Amino acid sequence: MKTIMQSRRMHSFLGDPSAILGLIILLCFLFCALFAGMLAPMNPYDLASVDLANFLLPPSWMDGGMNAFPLGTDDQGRGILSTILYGLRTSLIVSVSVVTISSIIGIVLGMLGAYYGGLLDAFIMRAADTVFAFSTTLIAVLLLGMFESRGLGTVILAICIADWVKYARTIRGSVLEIKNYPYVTAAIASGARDFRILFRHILPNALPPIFVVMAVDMAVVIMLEATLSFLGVGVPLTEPSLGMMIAIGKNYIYAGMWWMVLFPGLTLIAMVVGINLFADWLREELNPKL
Amino acid sequence: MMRKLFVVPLLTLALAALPALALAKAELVIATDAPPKSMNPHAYSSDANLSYMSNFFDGLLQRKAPEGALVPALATSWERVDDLTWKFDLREGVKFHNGNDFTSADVKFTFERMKDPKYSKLLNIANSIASIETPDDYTVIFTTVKPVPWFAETMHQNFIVDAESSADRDDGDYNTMPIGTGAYKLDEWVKGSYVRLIANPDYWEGAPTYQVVDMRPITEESTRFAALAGKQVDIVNGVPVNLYERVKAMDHVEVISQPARRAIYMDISNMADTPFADLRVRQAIAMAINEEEIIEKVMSGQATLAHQIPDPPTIGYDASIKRLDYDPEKAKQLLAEAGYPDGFPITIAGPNDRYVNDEKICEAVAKYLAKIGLDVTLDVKPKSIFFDELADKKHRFYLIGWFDGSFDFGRSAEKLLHTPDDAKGMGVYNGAVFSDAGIDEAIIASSSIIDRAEREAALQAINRQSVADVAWIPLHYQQDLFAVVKDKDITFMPRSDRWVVVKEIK
Repeated sequence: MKTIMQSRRMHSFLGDPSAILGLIILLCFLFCALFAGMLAPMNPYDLASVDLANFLLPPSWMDGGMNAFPLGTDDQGRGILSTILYGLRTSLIVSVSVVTISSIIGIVLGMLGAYYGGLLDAFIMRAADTVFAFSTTLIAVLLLGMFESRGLGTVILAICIADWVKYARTIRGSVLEIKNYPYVTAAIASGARDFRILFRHILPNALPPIFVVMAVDMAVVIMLEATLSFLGVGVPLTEPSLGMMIAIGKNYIYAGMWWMVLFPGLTLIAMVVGINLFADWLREELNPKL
Repeated sequence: MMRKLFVVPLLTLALAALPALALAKAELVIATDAPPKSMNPHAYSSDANLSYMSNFFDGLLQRKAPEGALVPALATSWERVDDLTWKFDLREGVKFHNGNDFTSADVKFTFERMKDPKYSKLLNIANSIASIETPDDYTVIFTTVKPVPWFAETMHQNFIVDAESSADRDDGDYNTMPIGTGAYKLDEWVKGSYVRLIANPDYWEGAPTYQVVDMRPITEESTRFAALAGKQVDIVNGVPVNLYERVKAMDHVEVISQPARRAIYMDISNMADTPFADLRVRQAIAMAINEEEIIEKVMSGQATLAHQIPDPPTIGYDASIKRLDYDPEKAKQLLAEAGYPDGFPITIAGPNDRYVNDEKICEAVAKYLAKIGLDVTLDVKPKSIFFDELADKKHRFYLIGWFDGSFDFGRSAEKLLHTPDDAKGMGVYNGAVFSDAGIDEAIIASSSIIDRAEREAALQAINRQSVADVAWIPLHYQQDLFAVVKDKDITFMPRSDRWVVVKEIK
């Protein structure tokens, strides 16, 4: 513990207030998401416990508000606070899953392409270029339009298909450089197998830039999920995420019911800002070349 | 560098002035909630498309605002000669927009073209015609394949095209440039922006009041509201229900709320080997839905409770029919009696961009069904996908709306209630697949009854039977909301079919 506290990295972290703020925000949201079931006054995803009678209530401090719904309710009688807590969980599940899955896919494909080169590399990178040529949102919308059912799984799958490319490209660049280093040549000369060279010698040294991409990508994926749900192709209707809450709320903005958009919107912004602050520090720390 | 700096603001100015100039030309701007999809009058049977077409074309007959009474248009009189024969006397001296004379040849050409799936979605009425005779230039005699009591009732929406020019126009032109006899000619159709209409000075009913009219399809509800608040439009067809109170509070606007003809209902199956086969299950579902709460909350009060599918002016409406009362306890009990004390999985399907608050109604229904213990999945999607799935009979329980343009429940029953039978053209919209031999028989029998009172009684019996058997669960009739800007002295009478027939606006 002592060594961590005294390490150069920790020192740089403690000297960067915005990074600390970012991490605090992130941890708060993580806590809320993990314990949403206990923190939330109601379960907005349980159809039987949502009552239409409580629809469109303003926040509790306004006229007509109810204490049971501190931030008001939406047009189906779901509490905004509860839905935000559950929506946070959705956002984080999607973002962590997508970042994990697509980074693994991207790393494996990118490394193989860069290490073996030739036709395999050309094939993988042309596939990556094709995906890269379209905007991630567009690809995800098209895929989700083709899927039969709606759910978190399909959202994650669709985003992963569009998202692995950036990892593949990043790792490919590093591997192309590292594979010519003397220690790799030495490993080849001493008869190490390809698998060992790739995962023991090359991968650990190619990872730092990937960590930076992952950190930034967390925020990107959260926004993407929100976008897809806003457009109505994301999460199921009965389980709104932050993006869908905003989509529902926008119909009522002109009717003066601002709370349905404002609170989930602020939450989304805070979360993305928090991640970006932390990612910024991580980038400076891990990527001194930039 | 200096020159470049000067050009940029100038260009910006010019660009900013463009829409202003364009707007200044229209005397009347009407916002609607759906864009036209084609200028071929037979390409779509949706009321949105027909509404645009009613300005460029005329039918043999027309319906007048507000109730929709059937009156002469291109035909001056009509009669049902016998079971299968209909005779129309045509108006003389009418000209198409291109100067061609309107004659019986055009009528014959139109109905023959309507049989071609390449040009037409109005196949139902077209294919019911066995032969068309034109004894002279101004008489048309139709013979139908089987008795079609409502044949004349659809003649307001079968728009007549010009035979001479249409025959050899290419499809691209035919689908974008309407040549009809209507009160307005198409000046410009800017997709996604507006449709500009220019008055037809030689119109047979007299030239319309407004010379240049813009119809602006604005699909997004809040944008439609903003256009009204910003005084960019004079008439809005389809004021968002959620914003009713806000629009009413605007000083410069008058809001007209009138009952719509469209009934919104849950269609339900009775297919064997599904829980729905048991009448008690269907009754339980009907009793679980608190429709009064849906009207009050989801619809902001802008809807009327429906006890049956047809609306009061329709032949076959029966005022004595009462829907099942909301009673979740009784519903649970019925489910238990039917052998489902712990419920069963049920999917609620529906469109999310077709009817007022369709998605939210589905969601509310989902909640009510969850409360009686069913395991609910919600499956709402855009209408383009949803209606294809209905045609494939994919869903057993879904939300849909219906109004019968012909004011005849017999026609509705053939399409919605009769067992699906593609060969006979029956039950085409019976997507949930409800099937009852007795009802089928009664529907077929009713179409041969010529006496109006006798036929009405037969249709009422079918209607009563369908509600008693829970062949469907009526929810509500929509309320149509229109807004008219006050200080421009516009006389606008909304139509029950929601068409915007511009010649009726004074």
